[in-house]
Amino acid sequence: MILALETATTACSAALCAADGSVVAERFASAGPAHSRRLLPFVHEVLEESGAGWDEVETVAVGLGPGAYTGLRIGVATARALAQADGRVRLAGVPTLTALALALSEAPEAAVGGLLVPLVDGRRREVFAALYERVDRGLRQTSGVSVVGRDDLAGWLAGCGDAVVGGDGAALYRELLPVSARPAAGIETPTAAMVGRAVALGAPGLVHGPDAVLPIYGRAPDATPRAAKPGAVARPGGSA
Amino acid sequence: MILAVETSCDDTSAAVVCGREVLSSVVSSQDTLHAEFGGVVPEVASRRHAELVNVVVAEAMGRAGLAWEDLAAVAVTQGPGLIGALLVGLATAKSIACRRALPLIPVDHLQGHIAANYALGVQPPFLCLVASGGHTLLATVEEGVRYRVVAKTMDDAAGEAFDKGARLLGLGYPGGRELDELAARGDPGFVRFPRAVPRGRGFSFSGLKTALLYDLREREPAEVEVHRADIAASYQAAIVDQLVEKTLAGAAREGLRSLAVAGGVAANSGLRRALTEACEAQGLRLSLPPLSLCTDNAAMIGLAAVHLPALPWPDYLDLDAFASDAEAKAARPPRKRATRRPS
Ligand SMILES: [Zn+2]
Repeated sequence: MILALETATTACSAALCAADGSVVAERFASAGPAHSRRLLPFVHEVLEESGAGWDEVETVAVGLGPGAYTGLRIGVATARALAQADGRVRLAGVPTLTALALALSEAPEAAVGGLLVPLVDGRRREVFAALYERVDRGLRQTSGVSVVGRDDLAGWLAGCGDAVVGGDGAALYRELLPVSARPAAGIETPTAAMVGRAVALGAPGLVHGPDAVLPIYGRAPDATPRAAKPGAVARPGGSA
Repeated sequence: MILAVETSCDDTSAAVVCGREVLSSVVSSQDTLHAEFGGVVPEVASRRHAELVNVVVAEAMGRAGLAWEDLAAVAVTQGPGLIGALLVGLATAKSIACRRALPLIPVDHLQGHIAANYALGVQPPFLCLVASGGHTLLATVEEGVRYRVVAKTMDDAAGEAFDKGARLLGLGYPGGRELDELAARGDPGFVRFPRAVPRGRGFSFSGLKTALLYDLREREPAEVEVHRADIAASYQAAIVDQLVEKTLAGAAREGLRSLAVAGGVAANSGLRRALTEACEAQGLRLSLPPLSLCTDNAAMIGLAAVHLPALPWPDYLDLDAFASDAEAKAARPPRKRATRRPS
């Protein structure tokens, strides 16, 4: 079975999926307390509910982002440490946009050959986006990750042509979407179940192992080298 | 055997501790990473922790020659510190403990610094000078890691005074260590910088920093160049004098004959020498941890954990980190209050 985690947005979820990608047990919260307080209880609960022991978990998978940095790191650190302390399970990661795109490809709104555009809220009035195409059996990624400003979103999407869109970025900027961008009903947030399914079906961008399962931040950290240093703080740990 | 993880600032560290014996201690410093920014950039630090923490844990387990089955508990710094950095260590420690169904011991960073002294076999009660970039205080340690703050800084921390002084003197980052090295070659009597307010209990360093600024301003650049080591030595002597004087006064007030030091500033060679001499002169016992246990490290978290209550699996799964002491209460859900933690 696949134990999947997704923490790239304000939502937090864990799911236990069978080898075919179907959901065995799932916990999801769209908002609420911090990911650090919700994620591991969710992991514990899906295992308890399914009656599965760690022995039955073959893969620990996590959505890699891009998304909100802190949540992303909690998800990735949790998956990495669970796999490390297990020693036997496979560690897998899927770009969160890919997991969303796969869900979009299975939505009734999608057609073979059609364009799929998952949008994840990147805060700072920006969204993370990438282009995918629904192919005969699954999904093909046709662009890298773009960071699109709120004010450019309508024009950028209109330039993509007819597309099915989804994700919390699409929900957040719903009134900005051009007519050519049709939101898929009910696909407003990336979930652990989508991540588990993307792993089961071998979606594009799927990676394995601790060297590869690291957050996709989508942006460089805000920091300017010496002289101007708004982001830098004194070292609370102390030097000297 | 306890696996400890500490990621509160810019050092990624893990250690294995057995009682007061440190079986392994691994610290991956990010100093060079942050040097170009002239300070720790929280997001940069958090990203690095996320890349390194599992490697550092594996190294600590390997050096101790342990398998997961050998662990009795996992300890982790819960706060205070940079929240994004803390959360990487906390998620890692909780997940390892969860997967192995082990108890988790959340540790306060300051208690960790104090507990570093237990590796040397110090016996409470003792007075501990905790001096780092974030703290400067005197704590009376009554038992284990339970302490009472009897004096603290009224403005800057001592480590801040070292780092800011180093910056004014044109030294690199983090400057405390460089300042220490430079001061060793200088004349501490070259400039008479202001000392502590004689009657106050607390520490104060902001006036000293200003005095250094004015002193450097009044000198010709060429003169500063020639006397940089002398000025550094004089500045360091003023910090050290104050730390030593207030610490001894605090010990006398508390009626304690046993002293200890903790925190990054405790690695300063000038302070170590002056405290050793002062304690010898007064017949006081002094615990001076090795440098590796003074700067941030996970071994001290493991040493503190021995004295703290463990949260049984799975009671800690929703445990959160806290950035400051003010947030510490909120991070502890009410039902966990039964497992008291000394403050
Ligand atoms: Zn510290």
